[in-house]
Amino acid sequence: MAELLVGLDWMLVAFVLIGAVPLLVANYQFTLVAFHFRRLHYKECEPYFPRTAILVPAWNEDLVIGASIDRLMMLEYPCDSLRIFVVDDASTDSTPQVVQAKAAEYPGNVFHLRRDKGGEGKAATLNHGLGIILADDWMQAVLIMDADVIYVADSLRHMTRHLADPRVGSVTGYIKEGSQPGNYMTRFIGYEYITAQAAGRRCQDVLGVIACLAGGAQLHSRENLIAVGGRIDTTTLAEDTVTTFRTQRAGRIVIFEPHAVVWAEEPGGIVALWKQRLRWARGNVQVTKMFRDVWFRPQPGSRLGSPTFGIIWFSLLLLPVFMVAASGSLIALYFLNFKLAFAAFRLLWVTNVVTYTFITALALFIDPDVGRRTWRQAVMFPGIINMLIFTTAVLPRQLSWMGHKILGAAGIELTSGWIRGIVLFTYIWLMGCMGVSYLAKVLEPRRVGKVLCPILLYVGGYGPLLCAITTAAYVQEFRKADMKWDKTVKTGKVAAPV
Amino acid sequence: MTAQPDQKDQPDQPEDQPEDQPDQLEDLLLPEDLLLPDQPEDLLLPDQPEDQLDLPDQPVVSHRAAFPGAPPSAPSFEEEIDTATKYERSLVGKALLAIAVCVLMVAIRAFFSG
Repeated sequence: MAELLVGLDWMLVAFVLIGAVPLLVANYQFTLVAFHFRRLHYKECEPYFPRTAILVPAWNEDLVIGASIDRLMMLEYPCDSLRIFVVDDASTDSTPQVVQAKAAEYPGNVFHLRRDKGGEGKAATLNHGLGIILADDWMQAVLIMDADVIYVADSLRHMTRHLADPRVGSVTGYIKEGSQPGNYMTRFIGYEYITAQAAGRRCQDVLGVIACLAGGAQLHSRENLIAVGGRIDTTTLAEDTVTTFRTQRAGRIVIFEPHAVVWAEEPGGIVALWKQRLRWARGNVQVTKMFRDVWFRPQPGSRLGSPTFGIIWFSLLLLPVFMVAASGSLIALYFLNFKLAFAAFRLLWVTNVVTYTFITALALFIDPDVGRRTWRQAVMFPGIINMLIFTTAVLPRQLSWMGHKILGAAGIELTSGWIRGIVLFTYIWLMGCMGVSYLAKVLEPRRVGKVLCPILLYVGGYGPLLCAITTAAYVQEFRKADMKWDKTVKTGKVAAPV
Repeated sequence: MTAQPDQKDQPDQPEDQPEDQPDQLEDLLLPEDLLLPDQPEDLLLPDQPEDQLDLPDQPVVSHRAAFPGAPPSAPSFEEEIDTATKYERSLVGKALLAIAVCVLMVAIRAFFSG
């Protein structure tokens, strides 16, 4: 019996330490960023300006579409090599009138394509446009974007220069959050995009495999588009990822061009973010199933099956599982073997602190412009409670002394019972933080939400909120819930330097 | 809006286009010796004395416009690539700086808490 318990103890320790896997993977990814210069594609680049069709899916976008077209017409790109096709997904506002006015203002450059039946999602809207564009020989490349994004003047030509290499199938740019005025949520997203795009996609570039072309900035060569079937996948909620995977399976290269900057308006509240990210997370679960024959099966001509890419993909997809496993194991160990639990917890949190410090510092260094706006959100990304736990891990004696002082001043003696209670709370918090973030989402539409939501998000953390959304995606996919296209509402508050 | 491109690289024609048609047309219009490949210099400079063409080997620094109609003050294509490459190289230093921050934190931990 004793042997069995010892075996159980060590099994639980193993589960706790498995929680460190995503952290180690994140460290590895960020370390690879430093080697990006060794895998640059610039030697194969040329000043290259293919005839480019810009495909803009639009549903009730009258607040943003006019400005977006104007900005596209200001691109540093030959006017006669640029055509903008706005696919109006049966809009009920004045989008058709705005686009038609722009078509009259820019004859031969702007085209209004109308769908009579809308609401079938972005992929179906894009396919309507692709069918028309591909039927004509004019197009040599197609840029798929969102109606609200703003392309910096040099961004498109920075992307097309890679297509001078015929091995390249697709190119994506660096999407930055550009809401003006921003709020706490847009700044969290702004920082998140440094980690996920400026850093994450550079890492993937080094590995030779890109997980996803940004939906608002994906450039395809005509040949590539035809090779992947000439259509965008409509069976999943992650059509961009499916296109990215198919491109690479067809043996073509996908490039991340970090110097092609595109500004986008992102959700300004938790509910809107939840809708958007639930779609993405559920889409990723669907892609994982759809490409089940790819994972950990290296194949010539594509790095999708490389073990490294598989580990990176699954460490993100299964992050909530890792968190719950680590937290649950720590709680069980707390009752079985308190000392062993604390030792495992310390090891996990030391890894956590080092990872957090490395990633936060490097992310802020990578994009100092965005970093200056978002450093508070960068610091608070894991949440205030987790920050306290980090600080305790770094300065345990000082925090313990402070705790005694503060509680002593309040007339409370910090007994061993209190300490054990705090320790148990920290073990539970590892997964409990997701619950607090979920609570923030539930409360947002209510009257108290305006005040409480930001507080709860700062307490629970933005990272745990993303984990909570991924968990919700598992549940929805397991229940085979309807696939709804919840469009993120855009108000035209994105601003970018001209 | 910018000017006409210099059409440096036109991509391949679509595969379904019949390949023999342009050749047949050229056979009709051009004398046979003009169809010989890889002799553009001869065609462009037919009367140039050979010794004048014998230039010493030196690196050719080309500075192509980054985009058609770019103002003269704008960085060239090569300069843009150079700037981007330098930025990517600077990430090594930034990563080392981030590691230094981690080391500093571990040092603080060791100094204050043993």
